[in-house]
Amino acid sequence: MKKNKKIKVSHVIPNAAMLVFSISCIFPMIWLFYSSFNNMKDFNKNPISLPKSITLDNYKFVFTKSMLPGSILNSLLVTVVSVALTLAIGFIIGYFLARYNFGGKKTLRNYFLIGMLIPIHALLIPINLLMRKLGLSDTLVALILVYTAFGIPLAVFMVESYISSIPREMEEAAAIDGASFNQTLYRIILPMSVPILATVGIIEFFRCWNEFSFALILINSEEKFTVTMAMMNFKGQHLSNYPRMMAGTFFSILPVTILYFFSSKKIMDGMVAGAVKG
Amino acid sequence: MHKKQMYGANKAIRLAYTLPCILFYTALVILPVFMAGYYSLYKMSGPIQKEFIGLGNYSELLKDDIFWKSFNNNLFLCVVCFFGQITLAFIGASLLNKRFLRFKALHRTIQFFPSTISAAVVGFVWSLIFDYKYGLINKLLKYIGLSDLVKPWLGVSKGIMWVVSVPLIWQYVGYYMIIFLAAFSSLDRDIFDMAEIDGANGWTLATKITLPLLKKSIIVCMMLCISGNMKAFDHIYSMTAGGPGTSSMVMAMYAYKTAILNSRIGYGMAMSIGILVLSFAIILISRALLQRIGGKGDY
Amino acid sequence: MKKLLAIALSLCMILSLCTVFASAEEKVEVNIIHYFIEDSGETMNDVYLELEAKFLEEYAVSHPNVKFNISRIQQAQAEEKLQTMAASGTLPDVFPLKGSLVNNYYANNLVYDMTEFAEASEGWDTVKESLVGTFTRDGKILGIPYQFAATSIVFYNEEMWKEIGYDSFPTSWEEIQKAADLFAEKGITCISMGNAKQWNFESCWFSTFADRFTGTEWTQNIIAQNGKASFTDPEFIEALTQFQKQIVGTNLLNPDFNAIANDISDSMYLEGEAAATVEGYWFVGKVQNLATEEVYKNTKIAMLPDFEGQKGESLTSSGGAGYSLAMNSNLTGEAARAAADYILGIAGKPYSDKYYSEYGTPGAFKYEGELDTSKFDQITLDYLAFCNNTTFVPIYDTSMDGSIISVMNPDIQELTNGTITPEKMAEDCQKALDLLIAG
Repeated sequence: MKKNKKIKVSHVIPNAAMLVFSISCIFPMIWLFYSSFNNMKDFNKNPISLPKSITLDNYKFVFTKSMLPGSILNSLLVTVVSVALTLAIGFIIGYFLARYNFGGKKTLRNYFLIGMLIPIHALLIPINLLMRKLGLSDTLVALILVYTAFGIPLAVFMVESYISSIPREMEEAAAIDGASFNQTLYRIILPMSVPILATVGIIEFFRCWNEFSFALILINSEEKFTVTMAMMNFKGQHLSNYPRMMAGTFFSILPVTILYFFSSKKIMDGMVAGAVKG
Repeated sequence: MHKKQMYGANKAIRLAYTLPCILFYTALVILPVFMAGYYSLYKMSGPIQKEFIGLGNYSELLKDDIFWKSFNNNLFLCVVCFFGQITLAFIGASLLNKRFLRFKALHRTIQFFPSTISAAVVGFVWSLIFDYKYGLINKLLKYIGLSDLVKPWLGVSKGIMWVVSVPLIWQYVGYYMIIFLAAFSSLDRDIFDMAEIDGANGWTLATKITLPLLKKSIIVCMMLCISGNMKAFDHIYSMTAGGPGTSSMVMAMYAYKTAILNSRIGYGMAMSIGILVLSFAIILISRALLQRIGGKGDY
Repeated sequence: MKKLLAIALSLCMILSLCTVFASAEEKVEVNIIHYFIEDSGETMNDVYLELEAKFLEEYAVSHPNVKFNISRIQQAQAEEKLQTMAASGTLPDVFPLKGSLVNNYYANNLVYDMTEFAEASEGWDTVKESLVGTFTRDGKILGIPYQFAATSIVFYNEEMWKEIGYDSFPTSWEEIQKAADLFAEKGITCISMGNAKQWNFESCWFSTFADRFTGTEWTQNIIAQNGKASFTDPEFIEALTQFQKQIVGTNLLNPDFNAIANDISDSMYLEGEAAATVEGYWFVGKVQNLATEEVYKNTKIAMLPDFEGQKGESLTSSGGAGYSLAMNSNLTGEAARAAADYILGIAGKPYSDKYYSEYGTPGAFKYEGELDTSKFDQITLDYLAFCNNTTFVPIYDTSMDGSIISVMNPDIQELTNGTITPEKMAEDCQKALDLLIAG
């Protein structure tokens, strides 16, 4: 097929639009970055401007005096475990919802929908009490349990809609070849579901990483603070040192973002290559 | 002929897999929801001052002007974000499948990025963009000679919901785009190739072929959009705290303020249950609408 | 799933083993959550933390079996966290308590009666009665006030006002408006204001402004919720009307006063872009630490002017008890003793004395002895004079119930935007009050 070398106007506009939008998406990161080298006074005068003088004080503070470095480990632990559990549970429930018809199917779906619709803040008090009763107040385990549970609905729905578009012939063929249910599930369906699991995984990862309300309520001890809580203390009641907050934000986003940019290439390539082919 | 028994799991295996998951979810999500419902039947200001008033909170809720004003704001967000986030994301995802689009990988990766930032940071960034003195918007308006349109965007009640929607849309377009991309990837490419060979242009392709095949994904996205916007809190809290006055108040924020900041716990819980019920209703209505438009399906 | 249970189970076993060990040595743990954070650049935090460090060091020697677990959380979030904990009955052992919450916490029996501990503590006889009064119910002292908060002070740049012909801050509102117009011609903001968080107008302006019209007795009646005063009384509506008149459509404030937070509007003044601002006692430290040389040299203190025919006293200003430190009602024995020692040993007289003697900021206790003012700069001396010579009236958001404030604050935003009438706002506030009185 001969490639049309002419530049069509109708092709320029979408390209330009995408470019503009992408620049707007990356700009906050850039702004955070250069502002983190600014000092508070200059920043408050003109928040958008480039720093007149570069200062490393903000980063010095982040590394030596703030709770941020330690909190990253806490966040990492909680997030990784929660995401893993959410994916596991979401995969199972999503698969069964996609493949089987049974009486209470619609009800079950709506059952999981409740978790997505209830405003989180309503449940702060009940869950606080629940964790206290379970003896889990002020533990990271409490956070893991909560994050997992509230991540399940999204995972279930996304997995279900994805698997329902995988032709059933897959499982039938495997059964004909003598595979057991478990083998089919893990050796065939699971690998095929990697794109959606990766997608949900990324979404869940950032949702847990940035989660604030439950972390605030369920955690008391400073050494268990997550990143979002450690970031809180950069702000004062009457004084906000924004460049310092930005240094903290940039520092807490950076490792995660690098991970994201690194892994997403592979995941996206997998998705676009049309991994699902008969 | 498909016989379930041929490749399926028997009941025991099915239960063994699903029951623990459902129990886990029930204990950590459904149980607290019931607790919230329980509290909503009380007039409560703390653990001791509790008085059973049955549906008293709910009858007050029906007459609460601010709650229904907030509900309107939430509905506004749902509609605007449906067109802003989902439609734009769909177009974006379609474009990313086209040959003529350059830098595909770059766009995919970068545009998802805003949804990984916390809402508070997004709110902060945009409140600076809307800033009266230094914000990009006002600077741009002055530059192109529309200085009389310059105003303190976040300090004016009229149109505040439009202003507040922009960051929401901006943050999540990439998010929905990725979901659509994942869904696209599960489609059979041959259909697209054949259609393109048959001479179908982009528009026909999108509406007659892609849309129907992606119905399930669209519904998932719609559910996400509605649930997200009915629960909207963090962005608006960090940009306007519901202000000026209560013009950008949303239900979740109102429930939170009532229960936590005013110590009217029972009433706040009733509001949250109200939000749940209303959200459910909206989703059921939208599903029915989509069914009408999109044809039959088990949704 | 099973693995998780196993881990949880073993964790529980280990924990219980630990408690067995702990009780064998009579270890006492006191869990504290407060909002005095490190390196915040705010004097009030630094003073507290210095005292805390010293106390902990000394106490560890005299009471080696007591462990203090302290978590510092930024104030706004700390308040939300504590409210949630209060609602679920899981408050920590020591926590800050705001004046407006005392009724609620008392009714729910959440706070320890500290009267005995307080009265036995050193220097208790120097405490300022009215400040303790805010935290006392039925004769029981429920919290130790640690600050005297003056929230409504006019800071103005003498040089900038001289340039338009005013030797000092005007003593009438007509003059201020005239000056505002003159400033506007020069492109300078007359008074900078940042009310995005909704509490600033009410705390720094309105508590004072309204009291001038209504008189303090009215305010006290509202606080007491005794039905003798209503928000729909003509004096309050007059206050609202005048407040709106001074702000809507005038050059008094920067146009985005409802869109920016007070740290930005503070910067405007500190950088010399605004001729004045109205802030609280915390602003003194900001002027000292963050203002330009020019602004620092020229900053003077003034008051919001009176109105003709006002019912309230002349030149009053809002100030009084804001926050206190309190103890959980379920504390007993050694833990209670340790918690009380912590509170009284840091936030009580020591905090007040240190803040006063070193920074010239009056606290909740009267200072005994001579104050060495030689090392105080002009603004500190001015602030001291201000405190000594002013009659103070209640701060709305630390004395009135939270449910009233949560209606008043957003309404003030609309009032100052001109999108709500004074009558409607009064109605809204009264509705909230009626609900409280009804029970």
